[in-house]
Amino acid sequence: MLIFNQKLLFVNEPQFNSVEPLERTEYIEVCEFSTLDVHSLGMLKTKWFPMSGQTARYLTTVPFHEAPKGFSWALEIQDVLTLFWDGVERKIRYIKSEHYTPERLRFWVLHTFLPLVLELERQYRILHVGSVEVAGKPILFSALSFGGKSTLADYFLQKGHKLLSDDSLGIEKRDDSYYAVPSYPFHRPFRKLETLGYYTENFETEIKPVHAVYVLEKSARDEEVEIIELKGIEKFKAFHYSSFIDFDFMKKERFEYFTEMAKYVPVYRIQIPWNLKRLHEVYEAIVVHSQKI
Amino acid sequence: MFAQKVDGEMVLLDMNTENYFGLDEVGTAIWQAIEENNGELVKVLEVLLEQYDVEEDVLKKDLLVFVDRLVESGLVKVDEA
Repeated sequence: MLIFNQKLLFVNEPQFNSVEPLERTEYIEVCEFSTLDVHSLGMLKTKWFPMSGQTARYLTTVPFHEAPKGFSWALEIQDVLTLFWDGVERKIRYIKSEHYTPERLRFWVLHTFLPLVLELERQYRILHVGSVEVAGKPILFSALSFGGKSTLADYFLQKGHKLLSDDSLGIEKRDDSYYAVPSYPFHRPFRKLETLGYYTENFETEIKPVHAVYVLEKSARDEEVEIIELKGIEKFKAFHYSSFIDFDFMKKERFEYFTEMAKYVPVYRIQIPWNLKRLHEVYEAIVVHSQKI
Repeated sequence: MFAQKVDGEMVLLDMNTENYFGLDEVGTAIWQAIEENNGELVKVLEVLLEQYDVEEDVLKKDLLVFVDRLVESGLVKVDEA
């Protein structure tokens, strides 16, 4: 299966691999390091910080802001596993810790590590958004945490629309166009950390231009569903606050990328009555609106 | 400080505080005039007087209010000539 448009091969956990055969040159290998002592490498370490319910830190041979393209670095999830990015070989290596499980490996690679790799390699920008297709065109849902992204994406999925992202989406710039790069075929319409959620077959793998972004805004239970086009800084904020990764040293390029993207991608705010029984109204409003753009 | 125009409005990023600011159409015109004239407010006033049909005293007052707000937000510093 394609994950952020990449083929992954879990060498030591083959149950996660697709059935179709892969040419060696076309995939990123995820392979266990069984003997390496991470602390013997003399890598620079950041402070521990909370991440998806665990405690994590980065390890690098050179500070991130000084690192050349294709450099190697690692993410240590305390007592679970350490993931290494081999920037030369383009491989993911990992070392198991006490609370390692195969499911946790897959979660951390798909949900966190591969998006980090792709962003640091400047291959894609990663946005923390839900995304589905309407009439074959990707639309994105941006919101604060617990703002209804996953619930809405799940509703679209139930209505037969293809999923591109439940949580994070790659963005690829091609000239003045911005393309949606589908993430992984899982959706999690419930609140639980360190899990990808349910697998879905109804997943789009093709990269297509972003059609529109909807910023979800909670409103009172009896409010009307209303869609308003955003302009200027409000559009920029929709992207900026949806950034999946917020490395300090990337803030200038992030600013330039998102202000440029704001010139070409339409962004709308949709007021959502906070009442699940009225979700169909939100769904219908978006479907009708997105097809008129 | 970084500035980019989106939909005719200037978006500003203060690198120190990481605060973002949006300027409306008039604010954007003033900001651009400040940038193009290296911050010399006398020249900025002249340029804006050519652009807008407004009394000089009114524009001077509005310009100073605008610059005061930029200073308060930490977006610019004012040096005496």
